[in-house]
Amino acid sequence: MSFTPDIRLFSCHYTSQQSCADEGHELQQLNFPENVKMTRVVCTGKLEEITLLKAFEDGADGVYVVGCPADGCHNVKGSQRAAKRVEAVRSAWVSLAWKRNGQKCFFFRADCIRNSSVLLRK
Amino acid sequence: MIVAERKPLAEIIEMVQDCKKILVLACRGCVTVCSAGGEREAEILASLIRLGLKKAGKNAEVFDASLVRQCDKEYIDGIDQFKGQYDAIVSTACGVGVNFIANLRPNDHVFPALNTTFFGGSAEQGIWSEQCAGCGDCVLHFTGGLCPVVRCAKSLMNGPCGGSVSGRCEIDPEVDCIWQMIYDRMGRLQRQEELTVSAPMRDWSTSRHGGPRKQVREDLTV
Ligand code: SF4
Ligand code: SF4
Repeated sequence: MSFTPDIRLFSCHYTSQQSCADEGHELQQLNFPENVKMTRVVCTGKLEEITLLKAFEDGADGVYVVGCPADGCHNVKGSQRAAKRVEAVRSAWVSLAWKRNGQKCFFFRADCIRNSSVLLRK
Repeated sequence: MIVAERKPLAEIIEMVQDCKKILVLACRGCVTVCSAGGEREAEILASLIRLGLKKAGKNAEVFDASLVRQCDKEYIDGIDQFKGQYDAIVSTACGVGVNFIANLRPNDHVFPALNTTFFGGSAEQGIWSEQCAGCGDCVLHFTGGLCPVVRCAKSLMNGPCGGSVSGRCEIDPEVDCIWQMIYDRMGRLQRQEELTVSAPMRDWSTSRHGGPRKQVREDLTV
């Protein structure tokens, strides 16, 4: 049975500029999957754990956060903060041994939309 | 403040697995300050309980709310406002809060979401350390303000044991020997001489060795 995961992407303002540029044509050219819903945030460091969890409660199969490189964040430590929150949710997931629709929930940390687009297609 | 940390999630889910309506109740006191059981943590926990129970194939309503504190009767009475909305409370307060709910609400099921760890402080963001054990007979005036009761692994009262090496405790080279710190500090304050006076035998009955403790302030009772 084919399964198309519902994936939510949270991307920081700076990272998503690239993806929103040219009315999203660049994303299309990159063959960015359509089942990924993107939410743009001012900085991934502003993302709260509860926002990621609510996405799962809302039916997401996977949640995915993309921000600046950890050592090159526009807001200095935003990406590092985000990585810690993703890790907190991920470890809660591990402790619940949670799987949905037979698929493991997954978290990516990637430096830019370009990389993540490749990852997602895999 | 009282320092605590969230229990393993699986342990909490197991406690409430048969509950149908769950109130995750935050405390806006100490546990908010140590980011273990304030409103933000209770909201996260409520979400995780919902997801965890759903995964276990259980249906439950889970909501979160908070009280100013859970260690005063007047605030515990505020739980009345949620009457009929819950069949169990998961308290994210310290053990005092959970005990208070159990004491004052004989018919409510209450479960602890946290492991209460110690009385401590935070000198660096995200790091807490134990500073006082509430022994009931404080000796900090003899020791330059540093507590040998809780910060010495053996609660020694008259200087270090033979295991102190280079200012570190023999239980762990990462742990400071508090007696070394007391000695250095008293020296800096030119009070080293005071350390030559032997501390008298301690009466531990004021500590946990004398059973549950109670304090009555006649000037405050009505
Ligand atoms: S219930 Fe516990 S955590 Fe809350 S304010 Fe009282 S002592 Fe502090
Ligand atoms: S001597 Fe007792 S009251 Fe004083 S800081 Fe140590 S444990 Fe706390």
